[in-house]
Amino acid sequence: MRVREAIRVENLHYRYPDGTYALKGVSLCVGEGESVAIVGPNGAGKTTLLLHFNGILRGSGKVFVFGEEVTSRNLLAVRKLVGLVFQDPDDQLFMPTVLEDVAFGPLNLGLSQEEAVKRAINALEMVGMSYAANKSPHQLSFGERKRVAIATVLAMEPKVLVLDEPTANLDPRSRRQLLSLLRRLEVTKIVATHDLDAALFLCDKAILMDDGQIVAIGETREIFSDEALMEAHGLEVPPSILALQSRSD
Amino acid sequence: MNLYLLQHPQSWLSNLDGRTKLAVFFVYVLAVLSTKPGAYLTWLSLTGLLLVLLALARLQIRWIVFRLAPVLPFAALGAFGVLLGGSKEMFLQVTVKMLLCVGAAVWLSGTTPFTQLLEAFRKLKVPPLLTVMLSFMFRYLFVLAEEAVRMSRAYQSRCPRRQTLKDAETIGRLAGALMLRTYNRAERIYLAMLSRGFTGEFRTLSVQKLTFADIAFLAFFVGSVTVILVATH
Repeated sequence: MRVREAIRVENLHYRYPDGTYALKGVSLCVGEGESVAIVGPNGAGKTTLLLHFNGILRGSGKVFVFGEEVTSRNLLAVRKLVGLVFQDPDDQLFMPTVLEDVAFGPLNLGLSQEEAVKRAINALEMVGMSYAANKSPHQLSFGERKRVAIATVLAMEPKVLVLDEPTANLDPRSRRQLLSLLRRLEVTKIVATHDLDAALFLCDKAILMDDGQIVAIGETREIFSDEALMEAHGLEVPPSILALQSRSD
Repeated sequence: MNLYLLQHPQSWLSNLDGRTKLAVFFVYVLAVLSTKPGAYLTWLSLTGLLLVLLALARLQIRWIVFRLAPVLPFAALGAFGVLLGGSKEMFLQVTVKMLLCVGAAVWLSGTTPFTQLLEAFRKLKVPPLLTVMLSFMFRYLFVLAEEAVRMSRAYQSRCPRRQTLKDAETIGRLAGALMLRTYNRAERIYLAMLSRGFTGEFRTLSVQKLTFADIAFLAFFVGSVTVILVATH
């Protein structure tokens, strides 16, 4: 059976108002239930690409979400399907308390107060943060804020979860907790990251970007093992793969 | 960040609705402001009432004094005026009213977390623009302050000497950079809000409910104020 496609991008170009040419003809397809890593050096256009998946930015070219083209008319429907978790949780969490923040999305979906609270508590439980429901985000540690930021999106029950640098600035334990949490979630995942080991752990498929273009698409391990390719684009073969290679030699 | 300023001890008052406490505050302030000069007995009774409220709130005396301290310079200024030949009556009246009103504000802030106050404002139909702005301010004041501290540390690490007036230019640039960062952050916050289906209308949770205890407390309080004002008139 053919997998239904969750997101398809065709020949996408985007230029920022200041003239920076961030995306130069990107095309890709992500199937439902897949986990895809987007890797590449700083300034490759990863974040810009992510912002197109739910219509925050609109470049020239086409973006399809579950077969429907993103237009200015169906933006809300698209944002219901595609949840975006920003890199800095302080950008994501803006309400005075955690519970209010997590309930913000569900309320925007038009749910009743009771339903929104139920979803919020449920989402907080999924990320193991229900103890902080009545706290203010500034009372939480960075790792806790990160998990709450993910809960704010989970509460909207999206079909596609898009994460920008989920493991950045986390200590090893918080990183590990977050990764196993993400792996447990049974939704389509698209993860932009520099953390190659995290990408190996979470994603079967990887997309390598550089200078606004896609350089390679393929199986994560295969792409990450290609030393020449990785080094040509500001990355390196992750030590975990190197260790495996030296053992098999 | 001094979280000491944000202390809210648990007490019977904690369970009351923010609207009730806001109403108590306004009734009290109006009562204080309506007193005539030289109404010593009324002032004394109102002070007693405030002390009862503060005791109910289980606030630490140290904390109350700390919050009242900013009033002292104004009182001192008034006292200085008396030395220059101002009226003693006037000074006494202004000082007493000021202390009582600020005392009531201390009580309000010590019993009602800011989030509850915001909800109360929203339910009392304060314009959303105002409550949303207050809410953002409360959330990002700390983030912004931390950012400023980080920038200032980085600056001082690269400037290990005594600062002079000439450094004002650099510090001005720092402030400018902070503003630009804040502007960029605002943009990202807005994008994150859009991602969560924000359409311009602010929908928020309703957590608090008015209960019998609220009505009873408010009625009892308004009754006491009325009795004080009438009996000592």
